[in-house]
Formats: sequence, C-alpha cells, structure tokens
Amino acid sequence: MSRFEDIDWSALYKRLRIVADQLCRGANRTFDCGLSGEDVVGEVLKKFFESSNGLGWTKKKGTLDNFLSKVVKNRVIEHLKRNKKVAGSLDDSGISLKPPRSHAEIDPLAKIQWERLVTQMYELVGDDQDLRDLIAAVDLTGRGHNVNQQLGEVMDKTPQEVVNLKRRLVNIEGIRELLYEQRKPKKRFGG
Amino acid sequence: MSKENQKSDSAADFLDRLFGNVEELVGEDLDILFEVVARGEDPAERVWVLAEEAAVKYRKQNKIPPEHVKRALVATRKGTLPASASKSMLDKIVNQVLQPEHGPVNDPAFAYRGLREDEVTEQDRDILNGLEQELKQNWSDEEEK
Repeated sequence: MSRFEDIDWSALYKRLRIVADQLCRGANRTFDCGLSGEDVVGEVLKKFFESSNGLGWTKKKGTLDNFLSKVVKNRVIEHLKRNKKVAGSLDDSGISLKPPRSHAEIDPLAKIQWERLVTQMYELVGDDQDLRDLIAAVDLTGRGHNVNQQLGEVMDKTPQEVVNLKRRLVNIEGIRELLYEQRKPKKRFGG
Repeated sequence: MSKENQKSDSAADFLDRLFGNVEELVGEDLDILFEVVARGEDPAERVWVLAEEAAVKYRKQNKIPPEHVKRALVATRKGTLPASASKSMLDKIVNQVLQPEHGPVNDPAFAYRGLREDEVTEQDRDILNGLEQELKQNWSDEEEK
C-alpha cells in the first residue's frame, strides 16, 4: 500500500493553515515583505510536490500532517526572523508545536485583557445559557489534551455536544471577528 | 507588548483552550477552527492548484509526476459542476449542450440535423431515403427475430 494512499489532503491543508496562523501570533498577519501564513503553507506544499520523494517523508517519520507542520513551523520562524520578530538559531529544530504558555497565566495585564475578552463574549452570546456555560468552561479549564472531554465534564455534556456548541459559538455574529479579525493589521494609509 | 497584541494573545489563548492542541484536532473541530482562521478558503482547490503546478513542471521536464502529486490531484480534483455555480453559468452550460455540434460527425444521419427543407439538395434527399430504407430493414429484421 502506498504511503500517500490514505492522505486526507483537505484536512492536511487545514491543519497546516492553523499551524501557520498559530505561529504568526504577535506578528502582523503579513510579514517578511508582505508574506502571510497562507503564503507559507503554499510555499511548503509547493516544495513538497516539487520534491520527487515528498521531502523524504515516510510513515516512520510520523504522520504527514505533523511532518509538514514542522516544515511550516521552520519556514514561519525563518520569515519572522527576517522580519526581526523572533530571536534564536535558524538551526533550532526543537521548538514544540504546542501552543505557547497562556499570557494570562503569567502577565497581570494579559489577565485583564482576558477578562475583557470573556466579558465581550458574554455580551455577544446574550441569554444563550449553553454558550455562556461554554465560555465559562473555557475560562475554567486549561489548555491540553482532549479538550472536548474536559469541557464536556465541566458542562455535563458529551464531547459531540461540546463540538456542536463550538460551532454555534463561532457562528454568532461578532465572535469570529473578536477572536480573529481584530488581528488583521490596521490600514496605515488613507483610503 | 502593545495593547493590540495583548488583545490578540487573549483571543489566541481562548482559541487554544477551546480547541486544544492543533496536532490532535480532527473532524469537526478542525473544520470549525479552519473556518475561524481562513473563512472562504477552499482547501481542496488550494492543494489541487499547487499539485497541478508541480505536475506541469514535471511534464515540461518530460518526467512523470511522482505518486504523491498524482494522489493529491486525483483526491482534490474539481467537480464538473460546482455547487456554487450561478444561474447564468448553468444556463450557458445547458445552451451549449443543446446547440448542434458543428464539424464532421460519425453518423451521416446527423450531418442533416438542423437543416431546413430548402437546404437539402436532391443528392442529400437520396442519401436520407437510403438511410431510411436501411433503418426500416433493420427494424423488420429485429421483428423477425
């Protein structure tokens, strides 16, 4: 059986985009002369397809998703360094893909920003008690493994019910903008 | 750190707590978070375009695209009729299907399709009569069987 036979290419692209987005935090959404996380994913997949052996990936190296996630991570870091957004060695391959430690856990100002964000989210979901419970559960739980299980235990819901609530939450007008759109760089010039 | 970055980090923290480790994301969670970070992007189309570009490069070098390129192309091939097709686009497709095919045809009978009565010459009429006789013969042979 071919090692590429059971690859879900759409899911692979989605994961790489999310990884690139996660790594670009703190920098403008475009960096290194206007390059974005989307461009980096395109760049990595282009190299992968142009490589006759798929950049040497084999199943022994883990899943293709994780293998290419690491390549995306290295490319983002290189671009960010060129943009002087991060420091460190270009050869540093030991950077974890795990999200960075929550700023709210280490910085009082970040804690205030976190509380503001949660308050804004409560305002946006209004009287929807299930969604208020979900926000409260997120506030109570830490990051980590099996988040749906963790959130479900706090809320007394099944993991699938938690997933459905997440979908409802991000579809509420203003929530997506609050969680993501505010990170777009502001226009510097008129027009 | 600027106030804007602080806000961004809070939002990022929230997304991390809501969705967990990206390596573990599967199914609907992956779809939902992708919608949040890249609404409007078509993942299959993006992969297809990149794989197709690579395939063109291989072909230009007289090489067969490697397996991973071929697999990606097959798996993400665009449908023949996009769900988002507009009414005008669909009308255009239907009209094109209904238009007579111009140019050489395999069956001589189709060569006369769409011709007006005054455009059919005496020679054409003989050919059509011959085809009609042949058809009748075929039918009678079928009935005898």
